[in-house]
Amino acid sequence: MTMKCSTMMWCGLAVSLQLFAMGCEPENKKQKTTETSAQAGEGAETGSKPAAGEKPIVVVTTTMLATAAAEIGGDAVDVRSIMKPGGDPHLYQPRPSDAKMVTESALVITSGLHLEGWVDDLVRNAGGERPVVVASDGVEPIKMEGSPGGVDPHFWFDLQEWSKASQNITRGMVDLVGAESDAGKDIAKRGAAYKAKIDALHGWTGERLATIPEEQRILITSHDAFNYFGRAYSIDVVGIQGVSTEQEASQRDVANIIETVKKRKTPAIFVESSVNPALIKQVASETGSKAAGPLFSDSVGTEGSGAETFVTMFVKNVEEITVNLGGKYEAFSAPDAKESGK
Amino acid sequence: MSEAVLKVSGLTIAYDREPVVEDFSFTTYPGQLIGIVGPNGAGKSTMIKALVGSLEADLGDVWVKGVQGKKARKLLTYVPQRGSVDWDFPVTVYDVVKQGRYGKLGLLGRMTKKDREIIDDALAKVAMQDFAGRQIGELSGGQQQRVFLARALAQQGDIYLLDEPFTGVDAKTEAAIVEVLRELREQGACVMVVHHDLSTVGEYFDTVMLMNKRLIAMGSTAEVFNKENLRNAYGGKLAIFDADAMAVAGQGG
Amino acid sequence: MGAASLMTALEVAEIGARTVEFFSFKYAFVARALAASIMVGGLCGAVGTFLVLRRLSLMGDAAGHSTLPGICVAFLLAGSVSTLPIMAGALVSALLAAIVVGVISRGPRSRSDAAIGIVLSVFFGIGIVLLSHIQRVATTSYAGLDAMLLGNVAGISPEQLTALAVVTVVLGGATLLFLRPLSISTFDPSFAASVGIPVRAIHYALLGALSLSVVVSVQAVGVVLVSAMLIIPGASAVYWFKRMPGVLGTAVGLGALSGALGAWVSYIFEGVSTGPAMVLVATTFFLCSLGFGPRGGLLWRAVRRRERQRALVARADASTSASAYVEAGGGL
Repeated sequence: MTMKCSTMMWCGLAVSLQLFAMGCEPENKKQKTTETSAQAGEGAETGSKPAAGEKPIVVVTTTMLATAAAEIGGDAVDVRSIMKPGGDPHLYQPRPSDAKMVTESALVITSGLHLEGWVDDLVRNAGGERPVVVASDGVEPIKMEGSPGGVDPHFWFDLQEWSKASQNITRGMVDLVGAESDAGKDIAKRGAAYKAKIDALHGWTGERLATIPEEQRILITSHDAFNYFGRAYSIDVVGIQGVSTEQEASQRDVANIIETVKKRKTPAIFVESSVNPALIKQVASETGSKAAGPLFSDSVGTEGSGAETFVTMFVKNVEEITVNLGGKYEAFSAPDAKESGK
Repeated sequence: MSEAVLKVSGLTIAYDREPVVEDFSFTTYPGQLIGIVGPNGAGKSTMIKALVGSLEADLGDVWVKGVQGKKARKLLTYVPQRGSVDWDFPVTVYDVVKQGRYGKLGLLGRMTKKDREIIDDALAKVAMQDFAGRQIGELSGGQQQRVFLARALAQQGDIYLLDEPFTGVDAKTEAAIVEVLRELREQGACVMVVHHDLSTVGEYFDTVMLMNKRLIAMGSTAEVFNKENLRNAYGGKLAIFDADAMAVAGQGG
Repeated sequence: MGAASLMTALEVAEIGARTVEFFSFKYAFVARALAASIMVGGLCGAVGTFLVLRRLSLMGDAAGHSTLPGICVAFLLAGSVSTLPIMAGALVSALLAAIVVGVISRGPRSRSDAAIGIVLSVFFGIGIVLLSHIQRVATTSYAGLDAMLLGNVAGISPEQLTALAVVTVVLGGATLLFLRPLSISTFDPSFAASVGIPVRAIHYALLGALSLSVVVSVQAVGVVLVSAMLIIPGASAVYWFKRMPGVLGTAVGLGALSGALGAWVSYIFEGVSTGPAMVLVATTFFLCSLGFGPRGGLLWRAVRRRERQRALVARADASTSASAYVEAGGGL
């Protein structure tokens, strides 16, 4: 009994110290990341003046949403992202500073399809009222057993669906600033440009992947993140770990993948940037296949990776997949050269 | 008189700021059976533990047959209080007595016939040879104490320090143990026993050390147990002990 | 995905076929995983036995949890999730925790169980704070850091396996070499000190061995479950033998067997990682020991109680019938 009491007391102390420390994190770091992504996607669209007074704060969950929202919103809004590049939204644990961010926000954009189970509580406990835009509204989900909500949440890999999502994002932000205002019109314009870029990217992706020989059209990765990609671009997709990185692979799962690789004689399998690469490397060493990648699945790349926005991240993925599976690669050029990703 | 076997000078042990044993000095000789008595908390166990190296003393010197330090401690044979041991531990009676041979066997030494004989003898002396295969936790208090004594005998030393060997022990065992101790004394060993029962002190021991943090008196029971010494040792509890003290004083050594 | 496959019962034939496959070592990684699981089980069983006998079981939990801040700091300093710096960081942090526990519990008024509980919570709490911090500022991918929390032996590399093997051999050898002083100092520390055994040094050496074992085992079972592998085999073994060699051998055996069976289960079924499977097997062994072990197991105790009662009843009957006989006029 004595031990339980003193342990609980110390646990409580440790937890409170922890909360205290995290709450005191300075805000500067977050601002910097947002501005960088805004600059990355921004073309020359600095013509519009921001609305009088403070910019409304838009809080998004994933980094994919962050770069898209920043590009579409531009100077009109202040986009803040809960997740940072390299993170894993399946396993993310929100902190009090995230709750604070939501409280200060005027709009929250989530990915949806049960990807971020943790965001509902954040929004509910934030107090006040704010619209919540679910980017995946209207998306045709892929069913997945064993996944939260029974669906696969990685819809952004089907660019037709991401195109729809970008419209949701645009609409949400336009409603926020007012459709008639200058800012609203600018946002709408940027939203349309973004959609056009995504649609072009969609076509380009299909072309690139078509150059991969038939038998080698199989994408093997750490977790089941690419099913939408497979559906949209006619390529077989296998993940070792299941749809959430929370699930643990057994030796049997790894053995099954090895068999698949051997049967299909796949030249390369892919590690992911936000998942432990150990299992993929294991399969690669066992089969002589190449451990290629990293592919960016649940997050855009970190600084310096060349994949810091959604578009550049997608391009990099396609490049990596096409080249390593024996296809022919050509660079992507956006419809409006001013806005092409790096 | 024969050579001193144990000489202690100025031994002081403190846990916090208050010393538990203070400026303790004495000398013992072969062929002595010494009872160490005093009230609870007098530092009796602490003093013994410091002598055998189970505790660190803060001040003082200890000579055992003229040597100091680790070598000195190896010459002492210690029988700790029964309460300080884990009786659920997986050891048999034989294993415990075998521990007494560790000083000679060390880490990897193989047991010789001689070693086995020593262990068997020790067990026989305490009448526990039939229990050799029993796990230590299956025994009664008295039996456990006998095993401890057997372990001490197996060490084949000649300076024994026993900490309250008669606590929680049946009368038959107590008598048996006293017999063994007397035999050791006859063989020339020096045996020191921390004892809790004033009424038997005179009967068991030829020499008494009366202490309460400090050494109050040392000598025969007749010399030591006078009113003044007892008052110094037991302080306010003297009233209770008056009758006993007179009885003890009357017994002589 | 995995749970559903378990539910749809695999045909016995299929299980048999996969078992044969398992032992034919079709894949190198399976052989590595099996070797690692056996070593982790045996090593933790050996070291853990002394923890259990010294009533320091909670220290196993503390050692596991206290690796987390070291792992995070190592990641921040090294900038990547590579094996060597991470293991070094884990080791330093676990040793530090052991030292702090030792220092706190040496004082006259403190209790070692509270000390261990405190260190466990504080270190793990610091680790969680650092993990949060890493999520915030990571410029390189920290993927795989949380793999340390759960562990997966299916991903074990030859280097990690070598480290595990070296530690197992060294600590195994040391345990056998120092078995006598280890046992004596556990059973009776006062006596041990009096025959020249360095009791305090042994205590710290044991904690050091614990830290080392935990660090190499974490990759197989993860931080959270490693304490189970430390405690369960030793706790089970005392139900079978009444002497140290038997207890230690049984603990090592049960641990290694749990590892092997856990690896086998993970090979047969989808979605069952080796670590949890190992722990479940070990727990089953414990329950069997608790129920059927000859030294204090429930079944034996019940049987002995019955025998005692029967003997008492028989004696009572004999005396009543004797007195009845006498009363009826029969002579004695």
